Amino acid sequence: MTKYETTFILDPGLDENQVNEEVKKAGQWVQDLGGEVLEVQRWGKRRLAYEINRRRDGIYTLVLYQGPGAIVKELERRLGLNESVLRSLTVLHVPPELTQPQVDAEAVAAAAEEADE
Amino acid sequence: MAKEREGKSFKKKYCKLCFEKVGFVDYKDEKRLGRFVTDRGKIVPRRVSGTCARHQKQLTTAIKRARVLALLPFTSDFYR
Repeated sequence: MTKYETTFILDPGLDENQVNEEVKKAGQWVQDLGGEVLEVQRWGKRRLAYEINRRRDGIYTLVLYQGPGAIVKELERRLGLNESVLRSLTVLHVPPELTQPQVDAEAVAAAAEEADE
Repeated sequence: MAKEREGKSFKKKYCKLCFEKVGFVDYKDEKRLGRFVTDRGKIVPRRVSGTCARHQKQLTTAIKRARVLALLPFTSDFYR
């Protein structure tokens, strides 16, 4: 079983109920396809770096799940067909402890300053 | 960094990601990625930023992923 994470951007025009509905639907699909949802992260409404379908904002949601590889293709297909999904991206999950810097930012700044002198 | 070339004294470049001990560069971490992108949205080359090979490789994938999700621009609006 491999862990995947899928982030998708929903239309900013949706109200809260519709957003909940879409997120629930995505989770349901994962389960139907034989996967297991491990975590759902909602980033909320964010400004897009560029326009997508004339939208300047988007509602970001990240779903972390594990399951057979075939799940990814089908999930991406379904998200693509869904018109309120502006964009989606699926990647292999990397544990967050690897992506976090081991040295805290303050120490880095202090050391950098020292190096400047 | 290497601008001050008075005689032989210029500052040695170092990999900022190794310095912070980032194990893997994540595409969601747009603030960190933003430091390795020019104001035009281009990826800063290794010879300029001083990033090590391993981290530069991770950076390019991460930046490209972030672009798909509109976390980072392909190009800035100003130049479009």
